Amino acid sequence: MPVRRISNRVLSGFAWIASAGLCLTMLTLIGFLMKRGMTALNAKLFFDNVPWTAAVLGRQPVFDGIWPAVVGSFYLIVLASLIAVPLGMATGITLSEYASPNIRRWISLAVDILAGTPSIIMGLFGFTIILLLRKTLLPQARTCLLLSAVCIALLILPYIIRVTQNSLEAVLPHIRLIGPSCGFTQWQTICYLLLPLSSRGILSGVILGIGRAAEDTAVIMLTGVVAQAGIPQRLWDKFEAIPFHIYCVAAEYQSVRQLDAGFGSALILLAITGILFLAVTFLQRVVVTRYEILS
Amino acid sequence: MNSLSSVLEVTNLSVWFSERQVLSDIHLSLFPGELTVLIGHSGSGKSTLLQSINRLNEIFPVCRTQGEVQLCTERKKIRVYQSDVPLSEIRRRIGMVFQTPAVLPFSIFRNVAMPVRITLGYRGNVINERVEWALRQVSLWDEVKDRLHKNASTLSGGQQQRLCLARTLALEPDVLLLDEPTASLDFKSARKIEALLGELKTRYAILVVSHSLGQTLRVADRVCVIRDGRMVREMGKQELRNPAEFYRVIETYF
Ligand SMILES: Nc1ncnc2c1ncn2[C@@H]1O[C@H](COP(=O)(O)OP(=O)(O)OP(=O)(O)O)[C@@H](O)[C@H]1O
Ligand SMILES: [Mg+2]
Repeated sequence: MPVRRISNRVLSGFAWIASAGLCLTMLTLIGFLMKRGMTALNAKLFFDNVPWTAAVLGRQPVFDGIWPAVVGSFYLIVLASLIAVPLGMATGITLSEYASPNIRRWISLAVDILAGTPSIIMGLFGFTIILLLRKTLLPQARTCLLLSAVCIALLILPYIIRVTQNSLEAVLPHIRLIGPSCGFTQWQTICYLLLPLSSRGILSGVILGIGRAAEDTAVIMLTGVVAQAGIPQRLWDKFEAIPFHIYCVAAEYQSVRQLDAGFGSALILLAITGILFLAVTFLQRVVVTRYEILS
Repeated sequence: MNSLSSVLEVTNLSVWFSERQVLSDIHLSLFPGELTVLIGHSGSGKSTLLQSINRLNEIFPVCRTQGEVQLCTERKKIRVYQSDVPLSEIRRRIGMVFQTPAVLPFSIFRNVAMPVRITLGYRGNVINERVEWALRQVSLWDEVKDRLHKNASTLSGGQQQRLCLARTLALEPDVLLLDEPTASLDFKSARKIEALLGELKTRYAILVVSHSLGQTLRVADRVCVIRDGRMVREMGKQELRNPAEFYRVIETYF
């Protein structure tokens, strides 16, 4: 058999093994979480002994359940996305459509550095900001939900920038020219042509960002998360978050049941990100169908 | 023919891509009711000429343009390269259809309707009427009226080409620049487009790039031959009446 054919076989075999391995790992991971966590999944895990209506409506605080952490994580992710997605998309648009090559190089360098920054550094950054504020403008400043959201937003910003830029640049030149040839201004071309055409790519960046925001613990530990904070009422309140809760459980558990509750929380975290993925995908669908079918 | 009646006038136009000169000192006039055909071998700069008339080349950062293009509409003269008329209006008035049919990956309806809404600012039912009118112009209406909301990429090549033409017509241009409108079409569809061009030229001044000499003879009122970025020969009606002479000239200058 010629060498070319053998190497072809080997390569494609390797590719198959790699993808199968990926699926297997995924299944094992989720299966393991399910096995350990499922037993812990009940109202008690969420609300302890508080009736769920009272807990959800906020009439009665929950001390021993993960409900405040669920709400805190949800707030954190949504808030961080609300900050990072518009900013990231704007930067991506600038990079791909407006910036001169020279400026693009500098901004790209900045984005790469941001992308390479470990999250603990981002947390330290947020912490330093608070220290600075305390010494200067705002003596009563303290770490809080808003600060965490800003730092997490910084963390996921590079994903959204890069993915926006890349999917805009991937629009084929002959499609790209249609806009100006029909008399669109540059801004109209971006809004009505380029963004709808690259919405799928941008969506994948947003999903990546959401995943990253949901999982990160290092940043929030330095910028506002505490155990037993309850449900945050205002942006400058302390808050709880599931990854931090899991971390605490893993560090301090005293019985298998407690550890299993940790696995249950992990499942909930997965579910939250899953729900957010679905929501974002649905949003993109709605936008795209509006663009494709209706006028 | 005097220059007063021309709709579009290109004077001394030169274009560079990076340091390479692609067009040199082009002079060209388009007259109302006339169809001018631009011929020249591949890479001679035909598409570049078309795209510098509506300043589309400016999108490429490496492109540099010199010279003047003047568009004379009913009411005013617009100096394309130095005017206070917004660039978007200039580009709308100089309608252009590309060499490769470039439909948007949207619905057939939206392909025509969206530019009408955005560029002309029309709303509501006016848009529907305009879309139907434009599609009838290119005799596409009957073929697509039942599937207006299907994706435009499901159309055949010729239908896509006509859809692009309809999109341009819907924007009320003064001049039409068509880059090989019958490339990749079978001869029957090509003949259809040629007949269409015959009708359209009564209302628009038209500049068509063509690779087919037979087609050129059938549709042209005037022929411009471009070679390596220079306009080397222009032929009027009289010369075109005699095909043998036309082919002889082409042999010499092409
Ligand atoms: N965006 C661009 N950047 C750099 N060079 C370009 C660009 N567009 C065109 N050129 C160059 O300009 C020259 C003329 O190209 P043009 O597309 O005008 O040829 P054409 O006459 O339309 O050819 P064809 O009949 O094959 O369509 C070519 O040598 C081409 O390489
Ligand atoms: Mg060409």
